[in-house]
Amino acid sequence: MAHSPIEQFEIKPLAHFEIAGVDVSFTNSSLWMVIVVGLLTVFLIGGTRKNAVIPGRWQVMIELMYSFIAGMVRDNVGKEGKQYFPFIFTLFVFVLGLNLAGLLPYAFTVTSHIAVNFAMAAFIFIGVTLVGFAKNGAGYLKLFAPAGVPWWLMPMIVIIELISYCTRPISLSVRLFANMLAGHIMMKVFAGFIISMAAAGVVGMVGAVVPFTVNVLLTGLEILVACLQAYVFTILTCIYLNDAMHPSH
Amino acid sequence: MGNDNKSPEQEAFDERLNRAQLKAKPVEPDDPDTASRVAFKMGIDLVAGTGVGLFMGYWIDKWFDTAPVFLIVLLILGFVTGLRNVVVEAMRIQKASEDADLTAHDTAANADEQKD
Repeated sequence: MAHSPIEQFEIKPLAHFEIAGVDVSFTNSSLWMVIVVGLLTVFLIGGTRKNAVIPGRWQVMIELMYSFIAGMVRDNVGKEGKQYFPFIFTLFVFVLGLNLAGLLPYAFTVTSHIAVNFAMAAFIFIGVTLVGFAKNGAGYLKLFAPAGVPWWLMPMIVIIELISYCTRPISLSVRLFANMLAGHIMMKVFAGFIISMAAAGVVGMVGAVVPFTVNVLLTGLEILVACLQAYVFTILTCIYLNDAMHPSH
Repeated sequence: MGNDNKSPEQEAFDERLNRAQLKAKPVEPDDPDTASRVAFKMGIDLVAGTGVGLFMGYWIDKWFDTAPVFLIVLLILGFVTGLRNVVVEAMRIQKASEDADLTAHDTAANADEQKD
């Protein structure tokens, strides 16, 4: 086959930069992040520019997203979570934008790279830990020592809880990355079937309707996955933030 | 005061509004607990624990020159953590589905009461 299904994930430097021997080139991945941030800025500022009491369709889309995330923060973090709303909302629209933009033909799916997702997850992990210590002081360490555990089991439980805490950024980033990667590979593989079957004569051309149908369905599924994974990424951040603010629960 | 005696139009409107709200309610954001998603999450959780244990053990051994003591101990504890995470998650889902059953039961009972 001419096209490998994983060719689409290749990082191509568009402009070479180097700072202190570290390659910081502007790549196609960086380009798509800039495009998505640009589109989101236009979408969000453009929709709220009128600030109408009775919103138009554009403003309604933004208000729906706003109240969706506001409700998520309220339900999962509580009233004190309001101060983190700008961060959570930015995170949600950024991940959602990247996931959806990746579905456009010729686009690059930034979130299909574990490096990007892990960087985001690691920042969330460090940020949440800092919030935990800032809000609770040393009391935050109680998170690692659940009540009602016999003393002779304590050392082992503390280590297990500590490891469990450290698996959070991995679980968070791998889920998003694996979903995006798998979905895009699957679409590319079925698209490849269409081409190779159609090249095999009339019977093949008729038969190629099957992978084509599958690909149409997969596109719908991938839109769902793109939204759902952005939702999962955001709600998990909320849950971690909640643990940081109320470690006893 | 005037709120008590509503005009028939208002009552009809309220009733329609209530019905529309009831109808709109089940359209919750997609349930993240479908079987395939749960399986996917648990798979990652299980491996992630082992991975973190391996990583921590490797570096502790490197710093304190104790290879392979911590590697082995933390690898086992990491696996235990993975199992624990899966069990905790399973219990959470179990509880969520039981709660959902209870609420569904309540709602059905309420609906029955309203009919009478």
